Amino acid sequence: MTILFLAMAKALAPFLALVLSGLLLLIVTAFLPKEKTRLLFYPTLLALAGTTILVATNWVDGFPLEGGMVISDRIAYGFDLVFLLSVFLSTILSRETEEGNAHGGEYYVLTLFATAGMVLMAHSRDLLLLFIALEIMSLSAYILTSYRQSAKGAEAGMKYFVMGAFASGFLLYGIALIYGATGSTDFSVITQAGAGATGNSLWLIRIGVALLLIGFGFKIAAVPFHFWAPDVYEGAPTPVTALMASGVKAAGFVALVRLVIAFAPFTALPWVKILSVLAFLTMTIGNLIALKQTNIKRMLAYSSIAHAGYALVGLAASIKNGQIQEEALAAVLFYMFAYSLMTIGAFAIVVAMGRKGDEVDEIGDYAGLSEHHPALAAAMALFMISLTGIPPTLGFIGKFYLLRAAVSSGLIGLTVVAVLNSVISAFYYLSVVMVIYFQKEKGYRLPQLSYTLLFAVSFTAMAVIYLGLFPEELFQVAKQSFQAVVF
Amino acid sequence: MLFQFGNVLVFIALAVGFVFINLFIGQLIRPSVPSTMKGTSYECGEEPVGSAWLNFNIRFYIIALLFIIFDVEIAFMFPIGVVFKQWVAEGRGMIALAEILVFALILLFGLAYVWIKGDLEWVKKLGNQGK
Repeated sequence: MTILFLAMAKALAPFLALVLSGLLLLIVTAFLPKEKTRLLFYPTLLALAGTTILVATNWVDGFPLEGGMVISDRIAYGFDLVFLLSVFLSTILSRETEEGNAHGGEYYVLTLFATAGMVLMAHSRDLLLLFIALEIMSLSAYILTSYRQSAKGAEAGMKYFVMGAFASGFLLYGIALIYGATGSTDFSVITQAGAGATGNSLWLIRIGVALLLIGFGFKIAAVPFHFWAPDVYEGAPTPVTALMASGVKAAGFVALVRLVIAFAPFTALPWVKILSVLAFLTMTIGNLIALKQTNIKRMLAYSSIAHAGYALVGLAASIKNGQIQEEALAAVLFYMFAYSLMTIGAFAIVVAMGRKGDEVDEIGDYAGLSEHHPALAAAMALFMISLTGIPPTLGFIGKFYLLRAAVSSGLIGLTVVAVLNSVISAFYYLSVVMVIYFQKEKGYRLPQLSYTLLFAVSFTAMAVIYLGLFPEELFQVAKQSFQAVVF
Repeated sequence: MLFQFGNVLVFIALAVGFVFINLFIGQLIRPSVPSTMKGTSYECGEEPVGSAWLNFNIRFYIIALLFIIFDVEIAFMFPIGVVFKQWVAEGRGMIALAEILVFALILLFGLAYVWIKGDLEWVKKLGNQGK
């Protein structure tokens, strides 16, 4: 009893740490006077760092705990690391933009709650828990989106909320159908009951799974369900956009990974075809529309849609003859990590270019950056090259693992499409580099850089290069996360 | 099973039909004498005062939201109260109690936040706002 309790406490410790620190900061921020709320920046980073340590030790110990609604396997801890990294970096960015906001403290509290939701999503073993975790994350994200009290922010938050609620409806309906067919929302019970399901109840499960796919498709902004993304990404404060493109997207992917692991073996749906079509549309349409963007945040939003498409290639490759290919799922996890790093780096530059309250969003405004801030310009060029997927950067390695998995699963056509898409994307990513280096400046404003921001930029830039050169260890971590796939 | 859904369909058809058929019959037999007095909104015989499209005080929403949160809390606690004796007999009483206490505690944190921020006061002092 006590041993079980201790194991449970250890498994849940990351989640509990986030919730408790969030609640604590909630009370503290209510008491603090307005000018002092910026001090909550430090305890928030401390809480996130502490949680990262807890997650890392649990990953190393790696014990899959059976029973209950929570699952504690390395898949969950691996994705937790992606969430925590992206939240940590986006919180650092928020220091620049949200300082002096009337609701300074609540930003940090909501960030912690959103992280708790993401972590719980990775750890849920039950469809209903998955849904509640998703709502914890999403509700915090809706408020963060409209955090700055402007018309644009309010519009973005409202859109995100309405589309999110719409997606939640799909999810709930899917869960209800699966519950109706199997009598449970527990993944392990569903897989057992589903293996023996025939006729009508199998069809109910299939329709339910399709609805779940649509619901999570909204969250990762896969293409038929992506319409909210550009407006929301543009209207949200830049650090929140960075968080949505990295952490929230990775949370959607962990849910999709769980769905594939749980449902692909027995539903006998054309999984590979469905996911391939989704990946194809998401990559191609995301990249094609990104070509026309002049606003950098919208451009990065469409690029984020396209990158979700690349990751979906890995998900499509993870099923071969009804068997789960662990290596492909590991590539998805690796890609989420890689994409989070490089996109947050790019958003960090966007934050650096703007000042409090007024952002410099047009790509044309970046002209002349190389003369005034050679280091910033070089970093931006690096992130753009990495997002394109040119060696020796992390973006190249991430795509390499994904496409290798796709080839070994026999998805040659999809691989060719992904490579062609990278070529298309080179056009708009490199045109940003062109503007930075070769266009004459017009009315340039020198950005003021703080140490925290410099830390974020240099950290992501160094990680993108270092992991681009020596990715093997990190990929081993991703691979080992999927070694013992349960349920 | 499909046949039982058929019953529901018949009920829905009857309910919708009832409304429209009655309206249609009313249309046929009533005299049509429109006047401005008839067009005004009905307020229990009183003279109508202004439009119904007015801004409500935002405070109503906050109070309503708080009410719903604690309403849901009761809705969650009540089923546990019903089976609690049985759980105690099975030796699961303490876990259930701890869980529901944690649940209530988290909500209390929210209440405390709202209280400290001064959102429970009907007339909020403006100087208090950034507190």
